[in-house]
Parts: sequence; C-alpha cells; structure tokens
Amino acid sequence: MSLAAPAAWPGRQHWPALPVLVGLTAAAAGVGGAVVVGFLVAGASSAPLDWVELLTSPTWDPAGGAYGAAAMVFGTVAVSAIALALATPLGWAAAVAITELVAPRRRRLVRGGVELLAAVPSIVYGLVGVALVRPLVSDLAGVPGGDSLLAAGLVLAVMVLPTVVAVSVDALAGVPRATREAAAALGLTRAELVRSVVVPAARPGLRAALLLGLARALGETIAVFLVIGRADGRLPSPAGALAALVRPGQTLTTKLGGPEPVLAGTSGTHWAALSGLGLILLVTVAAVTLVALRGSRRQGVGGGRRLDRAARGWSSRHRRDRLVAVARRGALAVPLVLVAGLVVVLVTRGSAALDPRFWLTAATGADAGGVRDQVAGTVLLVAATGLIAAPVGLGLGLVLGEYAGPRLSGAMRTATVTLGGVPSILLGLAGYRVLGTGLGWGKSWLAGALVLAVVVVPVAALATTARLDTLDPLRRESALALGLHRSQLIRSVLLPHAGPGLATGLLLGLARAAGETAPLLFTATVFSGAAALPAGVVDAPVVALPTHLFALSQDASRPAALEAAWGSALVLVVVAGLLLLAATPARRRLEAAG
Amino acid sequence: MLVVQATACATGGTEGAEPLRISGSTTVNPVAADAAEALRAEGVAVTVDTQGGSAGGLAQLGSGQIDVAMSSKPVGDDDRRAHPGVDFTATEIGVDAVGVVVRREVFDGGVRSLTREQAAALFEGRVANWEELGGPDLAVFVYDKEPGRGTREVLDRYLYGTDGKVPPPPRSERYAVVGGNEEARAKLLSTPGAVAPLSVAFAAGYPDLAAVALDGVEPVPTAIASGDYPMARPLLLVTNGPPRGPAARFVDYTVSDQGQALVAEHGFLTLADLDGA
Amino acid sequence: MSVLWARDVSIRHAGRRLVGPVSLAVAAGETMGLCGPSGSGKSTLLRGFVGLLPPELAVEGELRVVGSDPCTASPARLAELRARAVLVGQTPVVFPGSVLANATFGLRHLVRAPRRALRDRAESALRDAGLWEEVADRLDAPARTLSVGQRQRLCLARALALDPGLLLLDEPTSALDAAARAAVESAVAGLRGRRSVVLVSHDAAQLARLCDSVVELHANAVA
Repeated sequence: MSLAAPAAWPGRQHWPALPVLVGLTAAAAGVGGAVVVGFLVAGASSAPLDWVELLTSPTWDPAGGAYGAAAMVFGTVAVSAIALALATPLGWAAAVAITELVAPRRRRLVRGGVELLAAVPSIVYGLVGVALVRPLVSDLAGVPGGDSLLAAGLVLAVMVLPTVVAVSVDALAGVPRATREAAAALGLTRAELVRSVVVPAARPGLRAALLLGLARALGETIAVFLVIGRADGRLPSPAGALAALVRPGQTLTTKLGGPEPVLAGTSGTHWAALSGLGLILLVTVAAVTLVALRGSRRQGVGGGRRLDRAARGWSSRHRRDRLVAVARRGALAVPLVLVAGLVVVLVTRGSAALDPRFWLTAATGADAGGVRDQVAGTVLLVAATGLIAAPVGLGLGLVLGEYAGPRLSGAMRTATVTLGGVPSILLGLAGYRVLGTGLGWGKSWLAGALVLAVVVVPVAALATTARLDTLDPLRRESALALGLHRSQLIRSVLLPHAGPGLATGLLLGLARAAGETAPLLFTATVFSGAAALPAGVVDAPVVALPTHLFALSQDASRPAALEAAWGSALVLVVVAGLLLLAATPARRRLEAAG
Repeated sequence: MLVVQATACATGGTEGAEPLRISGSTTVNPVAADAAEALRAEGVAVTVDTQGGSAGGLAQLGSGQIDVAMSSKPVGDDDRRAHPGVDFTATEIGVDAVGVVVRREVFDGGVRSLTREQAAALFEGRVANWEELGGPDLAVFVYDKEPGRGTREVLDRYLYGTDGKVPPPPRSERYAVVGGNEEARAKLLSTPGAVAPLSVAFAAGYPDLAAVALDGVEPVPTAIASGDYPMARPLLLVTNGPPRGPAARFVDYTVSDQGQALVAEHGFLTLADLDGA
Repeated sequence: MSVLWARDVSIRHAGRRLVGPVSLAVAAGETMGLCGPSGSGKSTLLRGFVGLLPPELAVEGELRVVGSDPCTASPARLAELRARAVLVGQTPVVFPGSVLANATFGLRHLVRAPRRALRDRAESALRDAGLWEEVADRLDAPARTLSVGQRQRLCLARALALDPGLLLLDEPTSALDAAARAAVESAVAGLRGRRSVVLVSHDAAQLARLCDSVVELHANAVA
C-alpha cells in the first residue's frame, strides 16, 4: 500500500506577513506607553521645577508658588499600605480555601462570585465608600464626616481583594495534580501540603496577585477622591503617622484627578509641578513593579519546617490541620459576604434599576429619569475599547511569549506589567493633553476608548503570554517536527491554546475599563447633553454610567440623587456582569478544547 | 453613518454635528442644564459639563475647548491675563450669594453671625471649638472648596480683599476639601460641627443647614440684591466675544422669561429681583 | 543515494562536545537502529538532523537530510525538510481535537486538499500504523481519549500521512507497557523495506528484531 504524493495537491500558503502584523500591534502598545511617559517628561521640563522642593516639602500652594508633594506621597503610601495589609492575607487565604477546601462542583460558583466582585467597577466602590464606609469610619474611628486616609484605605482594600483572590486562585490551580499527589502520598496533612508544596510552587503567581493589587491601589483615583478629604499639606511626624490615618489627606492621584490639571494651562511651573507629580507616581509604580518582579523570580522552598512538623504526633497534626482549615474557610467567607452584601445593597437600594423604564428613558434634570444614553455611551466605549485592545493585546502577547528571545522578552514583560500599573488618571491626562488639546479632538468617545485600551492591553497581553508559557514544549516540537511554519504553528497550536488566556485577560481588563471614571472625565464624557450615539470623532463626547454615577455620588445627601446613584450603580454592575457572562461560554469551550 | 444620522434625528434632530459645549460652575449648572434640556427639545444640541468649576470653565473657554463658560464669580484680571487673545464677554443671568453655612445645632447654639475676622480665623483653621465663637461645645470641622471654584474666590475676596494675599491651606487636622456645591452640601450634612462656604440657594430647603449673617447682614434676598450682604455674586454665562449662533440662542433663552423662571426655581435671584432692589 | 548522510557530525554546547563525532548513511528503504548508553545524545542527534535543537547547541560536520543541510537551511526550507523527515518523539503528544484531526494535522498544513482526500489519506496512514481497526468507528472522538499506546501509533500515523522520505523514531516504545510496545513494534516492522527509518532505542534486542543495521553512539566523557 503506497500513499499518494502530496505534489498532487497545491501547497498551503503560510502567512509571511504575520510577524510584521504582530510587530505592528505590539508597537502600537509601545507607542501608548511612550506617549504617557513622553507627555509627563515634556510637561515637567516645560518650566523650571525645583525637584528637591517637590520631593521634600509638604506644602502645595500654587497661588503662593509652593510646590511640594511629600504629603501626597505619604498619603499614597498610607492608603495603599492599609489596603494591602488587609486584602493580601485575606485574599491569599481565601484563594487557598477555594482551590484546596471547596468541593470541585461548588468551586466554579465561588470563583464566579469572586470574578463578579473583581468586575464591579471602581466607581461603584466609590459610591459604597461615600454611602457606607464614610459613615462607618465616622462612627467607629470618631472621624468627623469620615473623610480620612483610613476610609480611603478601607475602600481600596475591598476593591483590591477580588483582584488578589482571582489571581491567586489561578496561580494555585496551576500547581500540577501530580505534585500534590506526590506530597500527599508522603503522609502530609492538607495544611502541610498547602504550606510545603502548593504555596511554594505557586509563589510567583501569589506575588503577582499582591503586585496587581498594589498597582490597582496605587493608581485608583475616583473611589479615593470621594472619601479622602483632599486636604493638602498633611505630612505627619513619624510618631504621628498612625494618628494621621484617621485624618483627611491627599494622594498623588486625587491631586491629579482634581481641577488643577484643567486650571494649570499647558505650560508654566504649575503644569510642570503637576507633571512632576505624575512622574513621581509613574516612577513609584514602576519601581514597585520591578522590585516585586525580581522577588518573584527567587523561588523559595519551605522544606525545613515540614520536617519539624512531621516529627509531631499525628493527633496534634490533625488538630492543627482542622484549625488551619477553619481559618482559611473564615477568610473565604469575607469575599463571599462582601459579594452577598454588595448584591443585597445594590438590589435593595438600587431598585430603580429593576424597572425597565429606568434603562430605556433618558435622564432629566440632575437626578430624574433613566440612564438610557449613559448605558449606550458605556457600551460604545467598552466595545470600541475591546476592538482596539483585542488585536493589540494578542499581538503584544505573541511577541512576549513567542517572538522575543528570553532576554528581550523579560525586559518587555517588565515594561508591559509596568504599563499595566500606570495609574489610569495619568492615561486620562495624557489623552487630555495629546488627543484633546494637542490634536484638537476636544472630548471624544474615541479618545476615551484609546485611553481605556491602554488599561486593557497589558492585562490581555500578559494573560495571553502566561497561557502561552503553559504550552507543553513537546506539543510545540511535535508540530514543528511535522513541518509547520512558524505562522502555522501560531495559528494552529499557539492561538487555540492562548485563546482562553486572551479571553480572560480581555474580559477582566474590559470589566475594569467599564468602570474607569477619572480618565473619562478628562477625555470623553460630559455630565449631560451628549447625543446617544456620537456622529464623529472631534468634539464628540458621550455620557457614560461612571461619570453619571460620579456626579450623583457627590450629591449623596439628597435621597433622590442617592436613589438614582444606586440604580445607576446596579445598571453598571449588570453591564459589567453581562460582559463577564457573555464571555463565559467561549472560555469554557476553549478551556475544554485545551 | 446613515444609522447615526437617523438616530440623531429621532432624538430631536441636531443642528449640525457640532454641539454647543458648555462647562464650568456647579452653581450655574442646574439652571444651564434645564435650559439646555429645553433647547434640546427645540433641536439644539447642547452638552453640559462641570469640570474644574468656574475657573475650569473659563480656562477651557480660553483654550477654545468649549463655547460657553458657566461662572459663579466675576471674570478676573488674572483670567484675562492668562488668555490675552480671548475677549471674555459675560452675560449675567441671575444673582446668588455664598453663605458661610453651618449645621443647625451650631446656628441654634449661638453662632448666628460672624465678623470678617472671625470668618477668616475659622477658615484658616484657627478656631478649634464653636465655643470660641459663642456657640456650643462642639469641635469645628472646616470644608474648604478646591482651587478654582467660584465660591472659593468669592470667599477669598471677602476675607482678604481683591488684592490681598491668600494664605496657604491650614495644617489643621479638622479640615478637608470639597469640589462642587453638591459635594459640599452632602459633606456638611454628614459631619457634626461642619462649616463650609456654600451657595445659599443650595443650602435652602435643608433644615439641618443654616447660613450665618456676616458683619451683621443676613443673606436674605433684599440684602443680596442690594449688595449689602458682602458675598453676593453674579451668575454668568461667558463667551468669547458677544454670543453668536447657538450660544446666542442659549444665552437669550436663559435671560428670557422662561429662563429666568428656571433661575428662580433653583433658588437664585433673577435679573428682575435685582432691578427691583 | 542516501536519504540521510552524516560525516563526522558532532553537537557542541559552549565549545564542549556533547554528541559524536558520528558518521552514518541511511539508504532508501533501510531501517537503521541507533543505540548507545544514556547520555550519549541519541535523542539530541535526532533533533539535530531536523533542526529542532535549542539555539545554544551547535551542529558541526557534514550533514545531508533528504537532500538538504538543516544547519544552513532557511526557516521555510527547514519546515519543508521537517515535513519530509518526520521526527516522532518518545512521549506521545496529541493535539486538541479529534483522532481524525490529529491524523491529518501535518498534512492539512502542508497542502490544500479536499476533506474527502484528507480522510482517505488519514485512513491509509492509520492502517500503516496499525491503528485503523481500533479507531475506525471513533474518528471524531477526542484524541486524548485514546490509550497511551494508541496515541503513540496515532503520532506515527500523523507522520506517515505526510508520506515522508525519512522517519526518525526517538525511543517510540520506552514510555509504553508490554502490550502497547508490541503493537508499536509491529507497526514499525510493517514499514520495513517500504520506508527509510532511523530507530533510536536502548533495547538491543528490539533493534536486532527491527533493523537492517545498527550504529552505536559512544558516550562523551564529561569535561
């Protein structure tokens, strides 16, 4: 039996343009990053700026010509520290509980709940902060009104927690079953197994969870803006640092999110100082990212303590095991209670949104009517962002995971993580200066989508790359051994494998983008009056749910405004949740195929 | 594009693609927003925003990003200096007053009137307890307005004069910053012992809030219209040169009887009230 | 005319010789065995023949594989070479998708052919690999549902579907149990005389059973 010669059929075209295309999309991401850095550097050097004063003086007084940012740096550090101190241990323990203690059939539900919490837009947390956390802090900590670093840190902790849990769960779930079985076969209890085998194996991912949480905390603007009090000049002595936590303060992001960038003009010391604040923020985030990335490469092994424990009696080991399990389940209860609480609050207070007319009628006056146009604007922004971010994120992911050599890839991954950590307020200001003022777009939905795409692309690219890294090298070798060209390898082996990663990353990124407020205030949205669908690009603003919610949150003393705010919040959560749901079947299918 | 055009027609038929862009003061915003809504029903596209308050609106007008700036303070020489090529033309549409607004328990407890020196001490963080001003034994909490807000400029002008130097924000621990009128009101209502500069129109109708008299003059309509109350201020629509096209239509509407009814509805003094004084 | 011809071929890492030097020639239709102790670099050599070594490993010497030199070939030429000299690895690797999709995986990427033709080609390759009887009624089932031995024969069929001029089998039976090993061995035996094959194994008896000639690779002293 002999086989027909392949020459009887025409040869397959492989696609030599693919590397060029991939390179171009990745370059687009690079341009995005360069613009952000470039506009800040240009701004900071547009006028003589006393960097020593900026970094050491707590006094910020543009009218008096004093530009010191030390108090804002303190505020930024303080709120992030509070947030991480609460969210990281809880998040890690909850993630361990989900992967190790929850029955597999219930695991999907729990993970879904955490993902939903992660998809809740930050402006909704801002409303939660104004309506719930401020009064709580006011009552418990005796803070007049509740505006304080503590309130901001608490809001951030709630915001950061689902991010930490979701990323940690992915890391822990990635530990091979064989590794667990091998350790369990040695007689380790569940708690010992987690401590000695699972956690060390997942350590880089757990660190990444902390890092992503920190990046989110450092860069958040609006949710902090609403509850921090925005008081300048608060740099406590080391002894008074703790007391300062229950006082109003200012962070770098809340200063930049306030009115000053609009007032400062395009040059002069005021603008240079604001750009300097942006640079400090950018460098801080980049430095944190670099340190965390370097740390995550040092893999530790916790072997020594395992021996100690194994030497103890069986009964004490099992007692300890049960205690640890109870503690971990307790940690898991926190995000679950938060989900349940948020759902209850949103549904009971936001009942306006349960009426279809709220969705289908336009807003009137300050707080009457529905949110039809705001929904349309948000959907438009999210869709346009997704269309831009999907190819760019995929292209960048391929460059990182496939085309770049190990050294270049390492540097580019670091740059991508750093870009992902760039606070969105800086992206908004870059969009305002470069697209709005520079290109004369004014406020434009497309400028908003471009700015939001910079938020989404790193998340999508890194998720794609992370998924590519898990590809069995033998599968790749087998495909090459069958004569596949690289472009064919990418299309037939890498893309199907990376698909779920891209979908997940895109989704998480878009869910975050849907609720971004600070960048939209500067680039794309107005409070009222924009057409439901913009007719062009230049001077084509939209109204959007986050901006609407931001305006209503500030008017929280009026029952009608508060009711409309909760209704809008529920609508925004439903929109983000639908995004999540819409992508779930695709993710399942892709994961099953893998 | 056809779909977009059809939708635009269905939502009221826009006159051309470029909407009339309005931004600035949150004090003027309620009137402007209602006027814009009325004009939109007649087919004029108007977008309204309140980014950066009065000074933000004037800065955006200066750089050509908007067509009409809302301002709750007179256009100052510094505004004109910052944008030398712009012919700031202000149309007054009503009058408001900035009140030094306190909580009812402070007002009823004895703080019904303040001198300029007392007000300055209060906002500079030099008063810790309302007892020092003849009020109840209650700690003071100051909400100041963020820079660029018309309300803050009016307060500064009252406290320090037109050319006086404004001191930097106090280091007091009981001091925080707010943005628009809505935020100021919301935080006043949620903070015991709080005081803030706030448009009296925004405080009206809230029994928990009261505006104190300044130098013995209460912020009542007659005193505001006559100018006896020291922090009376005009509500302005500012354009670059005399308003033209849709901007003229908008400004004309707000000074018309219908527009003035909106001014009154939101608690401000109308132009007619001013003439009657 | 040799399908594979090597003279003084060695593989170096950072100047140190890991494999060889080795000289060999495989004639058309010949099954050649390659044996040697662990660490002598049998698998590495096989990968060197088709340019699948990591970049830090360098191949030296004169080498012709199905008419080309893998060391100097352009990426496109190298892909063509691999389609004509197919390597089958030690661990059976199947791609996501059905048995049929796996059997035609390489072929689909090489040529544009009607589905029917692809299926016929897959059938004859699966028959050659001795797998057809077992999978004929489950061609659309996911390939990962097959047993390990069946998967290894599927990998063999996948290679045969390309009608390669040379098959490079890297310890194809070492990961299998006795029954599966016998099935794969009989498939390889069935190719004898019809295909040019290089079979790497550490099992001398297996090589004696299956091969026309055997070359032994010596371990290099670790410097």
